[in-house]
Amino acid sequence: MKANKDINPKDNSKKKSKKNQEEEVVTDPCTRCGEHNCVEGAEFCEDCLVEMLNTRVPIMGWIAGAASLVLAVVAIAASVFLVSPTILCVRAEKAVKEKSWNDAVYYYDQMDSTLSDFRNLINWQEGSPEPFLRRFFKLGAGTHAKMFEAYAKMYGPLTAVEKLEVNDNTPLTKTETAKPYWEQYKGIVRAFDALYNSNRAPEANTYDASIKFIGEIEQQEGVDKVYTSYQKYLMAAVYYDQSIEESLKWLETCDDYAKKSGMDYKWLYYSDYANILNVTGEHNKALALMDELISDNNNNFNAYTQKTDILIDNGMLEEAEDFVDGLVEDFGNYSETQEMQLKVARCKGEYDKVMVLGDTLMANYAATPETYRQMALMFVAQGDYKNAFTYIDNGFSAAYMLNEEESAGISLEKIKETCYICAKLYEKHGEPTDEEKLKIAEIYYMFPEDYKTTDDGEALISGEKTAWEILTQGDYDLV
Amino acid sequence: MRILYVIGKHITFPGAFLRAFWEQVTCLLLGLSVENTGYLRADEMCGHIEHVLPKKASAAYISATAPGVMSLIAGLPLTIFGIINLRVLGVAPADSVLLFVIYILVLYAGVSVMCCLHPQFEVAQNLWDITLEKLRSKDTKSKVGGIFMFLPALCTYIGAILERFSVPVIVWAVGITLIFVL
Repeated sequence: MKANKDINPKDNSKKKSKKNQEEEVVTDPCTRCGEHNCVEGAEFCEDCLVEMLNTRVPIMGWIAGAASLVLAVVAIAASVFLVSPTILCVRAEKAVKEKSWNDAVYYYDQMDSTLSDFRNLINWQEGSPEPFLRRFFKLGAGTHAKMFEAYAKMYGPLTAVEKLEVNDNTPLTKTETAKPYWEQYKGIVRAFDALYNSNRAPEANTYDASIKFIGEIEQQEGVDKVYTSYQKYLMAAVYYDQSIEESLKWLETCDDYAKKSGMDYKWLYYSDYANILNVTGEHNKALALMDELISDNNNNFNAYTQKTDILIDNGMLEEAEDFVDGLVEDFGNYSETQEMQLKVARCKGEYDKVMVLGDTLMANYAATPETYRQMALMFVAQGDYKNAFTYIDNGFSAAYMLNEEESAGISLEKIKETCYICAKLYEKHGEPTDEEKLKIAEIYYMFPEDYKTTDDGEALISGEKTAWEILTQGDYDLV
Repeated sequence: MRILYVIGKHITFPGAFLRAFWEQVTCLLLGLSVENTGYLRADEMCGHIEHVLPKKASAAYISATAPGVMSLIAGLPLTIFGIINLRVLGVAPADSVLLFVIYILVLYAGVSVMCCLHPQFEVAQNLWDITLEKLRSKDTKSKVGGIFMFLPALCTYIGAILERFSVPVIVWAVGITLIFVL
């Protein structure tokens, strides 16, 4: 290759010349032009050497060089903004691989929020054409679809669509990742619209008429049959108070349709299904359903709580303890797992442990109503009705505030019921102060006169059973 | 092997073109005679320019590494920008076909440039020979210079060999595929 040529005059290894003290040096012809002789020590003639030194860089070269540097500067500037979203995306995808859908949702939310902050740096008035620069800081359909999937796995497609404000024009609905969930959503919406936006005759408000009506809706095209079956279950279990077997029948129908569809409907009916199976004595099946929910989503604290409750309900306290201890190892910094641990300890009668866990929960987190309730039950078991009343009163205040803030999972009814029982016990066995008497009166005011509480509550108030019998050997709870 | 090289260079022609441009600018600044300025050719000079090999260590070092550094400065941000937008933000044709095509082109340009960072083999060989000469020299200053030059010269040498067989093209193609698939 010609580039190997050496023009250093001191290196004469390739040059042939005849040197005569009295004669001129004769060199070979120039290897480039062949017309003139080479300059001494070089392979080219003088003209060619001058020409080679003055070789012009093509205009396209300058354009390409300048353009590459300008684009590089723009890319660096834009990439600097995108470092944080990139890190969040990597974390989100790691959470997806681990099926930690709650964590995935959190990271995708953070990513979207960061990009939104960057977009807002670019002035734009809604209504006018969006500046092209804003498009650089938007989640693309691919990642938006993954975010949608995370939401759907965590909360179901209905909530996912609502939270992400998805509609037919949203690009993510055209991606393969989001299509199944979008189709599922549309099927449910069709069913919902048909069920709740139709004019029904007043005499249709009976159980049989309602079931018949839902059955007619089911025949319409594109209506989600899992959802309609679930509606039949709600008619039986909630609205018309039918037998447990009737409710179970519709949940089994739900399950059949869900399995045939191949889509994930666990978010819709699994919790109710497990509940009913547990009540009908099939706790092993109920536990299996909970295990399925947990394996699909290891951030599903509702499933963890329900499984713990099923284990406790069936007297499987050792298994419950092992289960929650395992959860605390994995999720030690979550208050939900520590609460479950507290509940199991309370059911086992390990009251020192309950006090330690309760104090820790109150010190590290805002204590939830359930923590107060469990501690109140512990005091009831010990016959300390004054402390029981104090704790449950605090729990009720906390539940009331949270319920007003629409916090999910707070059972105001359970707290109210426990409040009533603790108030009755304290009034009967303790010496309430004037202030406490007022609070007790406020609690009674929430209930009708001659109100009858739960069977266990009534048995405890009347003295038919002891707290120890109920809370550590029987139903493990008063409500 | 030449066919493989030429095919690789033509596939990554933006990088080859840019590389040759930076080589020519470097030669201009160093006062090296350039024989042929055809940037995209159908031979082993595709993506490079024919120029005389400098004998001075500093000139040899700069002529071998500077064009690659300039290409890296241009190529790396473009590659990262393309990957972030297509893989991390997940921009798809459903969002905007124009934007998607722009990002694909940016990624292609970036990766093409990254595939053409190393000099032609003879230039790398020249640098390597000079480095070894310096290391073998009895002069302390030369030896120290040789030590500093050793690693860059070795990387340049190995890179030039790999580029001869279009290995960077294959590695980048596989790497980009894995980034999008995994």
